[in-house]
Amino acid sequence: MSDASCHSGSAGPRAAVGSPLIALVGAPNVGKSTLFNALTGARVDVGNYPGTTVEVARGRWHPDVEYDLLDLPGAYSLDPVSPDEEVARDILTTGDDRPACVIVVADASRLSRSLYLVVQLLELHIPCIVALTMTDVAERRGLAVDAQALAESLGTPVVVVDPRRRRGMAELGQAVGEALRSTPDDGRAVHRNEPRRPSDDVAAADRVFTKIATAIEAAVRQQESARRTWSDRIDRVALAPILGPLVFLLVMWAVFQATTTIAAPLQGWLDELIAGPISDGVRALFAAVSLGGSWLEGLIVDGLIAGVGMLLTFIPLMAIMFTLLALLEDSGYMARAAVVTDRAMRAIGLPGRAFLPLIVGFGCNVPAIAATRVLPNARHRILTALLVPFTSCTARLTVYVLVATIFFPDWAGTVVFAMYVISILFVIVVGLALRRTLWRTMGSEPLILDLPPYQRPTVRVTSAVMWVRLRGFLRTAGGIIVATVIAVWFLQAIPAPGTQNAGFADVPVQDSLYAATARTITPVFAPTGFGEWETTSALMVGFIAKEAVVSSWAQTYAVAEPESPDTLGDLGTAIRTSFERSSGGHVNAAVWAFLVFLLAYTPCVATLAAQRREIGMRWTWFGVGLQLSVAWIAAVAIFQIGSRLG
Amino acid sequence: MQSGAHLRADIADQTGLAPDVVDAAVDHLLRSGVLSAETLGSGCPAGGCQGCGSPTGHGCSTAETRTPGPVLLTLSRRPE
Repeated sequence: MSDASCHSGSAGPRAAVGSPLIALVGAPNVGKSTLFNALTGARVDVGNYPGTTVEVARGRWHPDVEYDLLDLPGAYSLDPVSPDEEVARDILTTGDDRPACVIVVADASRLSRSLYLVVQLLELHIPCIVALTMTDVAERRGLAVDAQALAESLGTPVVVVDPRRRRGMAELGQAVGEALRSTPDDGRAVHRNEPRRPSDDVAAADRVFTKIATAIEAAVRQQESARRTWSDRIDRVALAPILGPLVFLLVMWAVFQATTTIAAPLQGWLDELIAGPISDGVRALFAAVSLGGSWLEGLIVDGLIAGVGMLLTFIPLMAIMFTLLALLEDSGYMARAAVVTDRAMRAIGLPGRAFLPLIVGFGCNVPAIAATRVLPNARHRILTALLVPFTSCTARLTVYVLVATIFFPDWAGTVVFAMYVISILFVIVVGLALRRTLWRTMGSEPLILDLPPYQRPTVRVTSAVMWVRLRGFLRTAGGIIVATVIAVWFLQAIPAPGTQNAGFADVPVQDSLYAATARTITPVFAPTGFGEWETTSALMVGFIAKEAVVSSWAQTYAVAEPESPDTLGDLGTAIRTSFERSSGGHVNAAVWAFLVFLLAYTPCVATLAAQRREIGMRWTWFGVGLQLSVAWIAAVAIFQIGSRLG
Repeated sequence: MQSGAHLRADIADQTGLAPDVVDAAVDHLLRSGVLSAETLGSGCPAGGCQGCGSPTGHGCSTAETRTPGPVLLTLSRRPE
């Protein structure tokens, strides 16, 4: 860089012509400019490097001999990834007016990053001196850097400096003088800026980092107490091979237990409100306009209010669960869950990145299928897309809670938690089966997971996340559930073929087209213990959308006649009675069989549509067959074995 | 990475390298393009709601509500 190409900025004395040119270089934020100002007194010339907009400062440094000091732009290495680094490389390695000596400013608290450039310069036989800054920061972090040992390992002088307090300046001047006296003029290699293959980059990096590792080992000591942050200490448990998954399961159990316990009274109150004053009030309105007993009243009260209203009673439960999960996410803990899941996936030979779609699947299977796009391998995508439906989505949660509350009121949270554990087991078992049959040879993708540090959750983020998810749940209720409720109501209003003395909206539900349709598939479920049309009709609706299962149940039993005048016609009692009939007295086994079937069979038509988009029709149909087979076989096994065990 | 180490601390333990060296090496591979980084948010695929097949966007988080997730570093190009 010639004097003619410099644009003078602030006036500063120039070094005498012929003064040795010394360059100051280093990574960004290591204290380079602070050192430059300390050495030159901040009276410098600033100009653009020829042909660029990159500024290079130049000043006079006079420790004992006068030097022409250049402050080069921040650079990590001689392999540039930015215009600043290109300028630094060009000044250091090309042309006849290269610096006679280079001072590399290195941050003692992050020494490895700074040493890459040092090693590269030494490989090119460019005389360099390491100026070690931020030793006070290193000390606070429990790092002790032995400058002498570092110098011996690198084979170049190392001077500890503190530019703010102007310590080490004289020593630095001495080191530069000695370096200049001992360096032959023609001893420097010329850096060739030739195009390099990617393998050259990695090979060069490997060579350089080997030297860096040796130097760090020789010169840096870290106090054991300072080695780990409190995030690291928590992670020793959260990421432990056996304890980590157990902690994760315990945390999730606590979430479900707290959710069901806190939400139960609120749900009960909402249920009474909807089934009582609201339904009664609407009936009174219809009566007031002489529409009492009309099909329209039936649609509104027994359809929409019963169906959609039942689902709305789950708002407290969803809000509480979403809040607890948001707290875990905002704290950074759920990122650890991703690592735990990833390890489990790898341990059974599943693709490394498969954990991401599977974790998404526990919220909703539809975006989880779309998330398989992150997998670069087509076989990985297909396998993961086939496993996603076995992850228990939020929509299934409403059914779990309803059934668990009816049959296991004191253990509802534990039952719900068990369903999620069973979901994980299904993913593992089906994944292993597919892996060892259809995809025997499947590589794994190497990857690194960088975890965020733990942090205190904030009310703002937690409440915002909770509201976004609750709003999504409510939108679904307002969308597909309303449509499904209306469709179910119509099917329940139409008499089955051959039904006598019944008209539209004037037919007992058991004689409706809805019941007749359900009865066509009911015999298949006889060995599962829940072979009653009322139950299988809910599963039929659940094929469309799991959110509609509870609504359709509520509609079915809302229009059904009570067993006797003394029988309470509430939904829980009606469902219990149905299971007692169909299971032959083995209610618990039938309930578990039902829950497992609900978990494993096809999630919804939206998931099928997503699968078709991502993996094609053939694999989608394969998936449907797989889901129905696994669900039925598991349900039959549970009931048959469970009923024999008593 | 290929032998299964997938946290920087795991790499440090398996290779015997100081954590600082592992950090510098990983950062260097990121800068040189051998590794690529992708921040994983919660709830939604990498494409956010644009990548979601759900017509209602059920369960998606927005950028304002994104909670800290792991950063996935993968090989952009394999060393020959």
